[in-house]
Amino acid sequence: MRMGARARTAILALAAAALLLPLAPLLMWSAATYWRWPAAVPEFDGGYWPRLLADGRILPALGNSLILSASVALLSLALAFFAAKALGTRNFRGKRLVELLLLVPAFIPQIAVVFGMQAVFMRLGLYSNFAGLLTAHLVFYVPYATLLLSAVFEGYDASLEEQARTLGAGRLRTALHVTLPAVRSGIIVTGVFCFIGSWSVYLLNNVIGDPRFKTLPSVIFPLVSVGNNSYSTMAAAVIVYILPVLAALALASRALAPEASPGIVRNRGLV
Amino acid sequence: MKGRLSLALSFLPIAVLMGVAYVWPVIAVVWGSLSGDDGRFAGWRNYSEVLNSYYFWDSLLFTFRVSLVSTAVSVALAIALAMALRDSFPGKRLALFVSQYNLSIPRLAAAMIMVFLLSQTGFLSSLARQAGLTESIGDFPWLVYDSRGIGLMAVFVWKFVPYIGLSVLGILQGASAEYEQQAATLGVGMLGRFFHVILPTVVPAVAVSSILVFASSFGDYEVPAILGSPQRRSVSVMLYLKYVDPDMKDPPEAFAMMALTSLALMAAILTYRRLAASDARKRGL
Repeated sequence: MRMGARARTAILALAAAALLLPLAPLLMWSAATYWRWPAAVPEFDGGYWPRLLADGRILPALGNSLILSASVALLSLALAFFAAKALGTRNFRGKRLVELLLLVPAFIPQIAVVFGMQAVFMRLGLYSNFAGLLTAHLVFYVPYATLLLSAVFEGYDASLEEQARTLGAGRLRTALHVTLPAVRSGIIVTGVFCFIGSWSVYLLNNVIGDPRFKTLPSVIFPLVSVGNNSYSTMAAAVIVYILPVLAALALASRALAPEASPGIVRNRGLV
Repeated sequence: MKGRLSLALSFLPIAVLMGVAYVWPVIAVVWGSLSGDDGRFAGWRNYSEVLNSYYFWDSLLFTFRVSLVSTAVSVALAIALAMALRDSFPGKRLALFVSQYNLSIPRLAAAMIMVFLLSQTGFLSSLARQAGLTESIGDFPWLVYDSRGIGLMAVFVWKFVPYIGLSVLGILQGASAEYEQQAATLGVGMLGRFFHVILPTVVPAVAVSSILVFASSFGDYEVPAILGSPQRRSVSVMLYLKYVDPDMKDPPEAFAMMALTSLALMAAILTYRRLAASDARKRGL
């Protein structure tokens, strides 16, 4: 069924408006300290950028978030790799069950387990430190990475490895020169999605993390809930918060195009 | 034998991580829900308290309704968006980018963005005044912090439409096109093709993504914490307060609520899967 050009234009124009319009007040607020109802646009005076940057919390938090989410992405890939390969390329009893179990952390609300994690992590010395926060994130992103990557491996021809081995390549060389290149774009997309997911987490950072190791969401969240901050500061902080993930998505967008890797689109879990 | 060993080894890291850092905490929650304030075994007492609590049921049903409406609206809009994006047309790359950029925007940020847009002194309210639709701030409806959950649904739908839309698009550009052509050759009209060819082929993708979307809005904490109503609390916010807020604190009951909420959600998902599966069988898929 082909859609008429006019209908398509109408739908796409509406969609673009609905998807982009919310950005307009965000951008305008970030550039103005004062905007009084019912003015459609504020008086632009540069906003509270200098104040936000001089505050001394936002930039360290940006660094902390980058360190945390990059570690989460890399470790998730490393810990998920062999399990994903087994799920994607082998048939075994209980495979469906494993796949279902891997979905559980995505389904059960985080709030329902986070205080149990807090209690257990305290006993293990994983409370209020970086290792604990990292572990807490991995609990949610390793299963996620496993499912995403397993979809990538479903389209992977494992017999290539055998051929390489027959030709005399060792295990390591086979892994580096045959397996990795074949699934490279899937790995990049999975890593980027884990990064973006971890970047958005607030609850774990608040309940498990070290209060001295502030991430961006833990600096930004109180800006709203306290309510005594101007919208202008909030808007600038939100922009600092979303730019890195927009860049990350752009990095992945080539591999994200539906025609580039159908498997990953089917199992995509960026909600 | 060697195959089994390597299989077990592949899953070892995940098994250790999840066993220690997820399963054990879940057991801790269940144990907490069966204990009293003194930490001693209390049987089902907390559960019967919680099941009789009006606030718990109200919050659970409210969250359920918000998630259900957000999911349903998102699915309908996402199918329309995917239909519009499927053919090639000039500017398609740009359209695809606009349709997926907000996948990466964290919920926390999305919620704040919606406050700027929808609050009574926000951008839309200003535009409404400029257009002469309202005269005072009070004429503009409460769209955030409201007890009907409109602000919550706005954030969720904004985030979900691209997500579901992309998975539908993947299908529409693949298998569905061939069947449609065959149907067209056989003389099936446009509406007939939409309802009998397109919808059935996208149902599996929609089923999977709508379950994920439903569960993720149901369990979301950040969005209701920012623009939810203090009168009508979403389940995650209520659970958080029940565990940490000095005025509401009651950890044993909070643990029982956590267990019950997870069970209710799992039950909803399983029921939905059942329905989807039997529907698929009826359609002969």
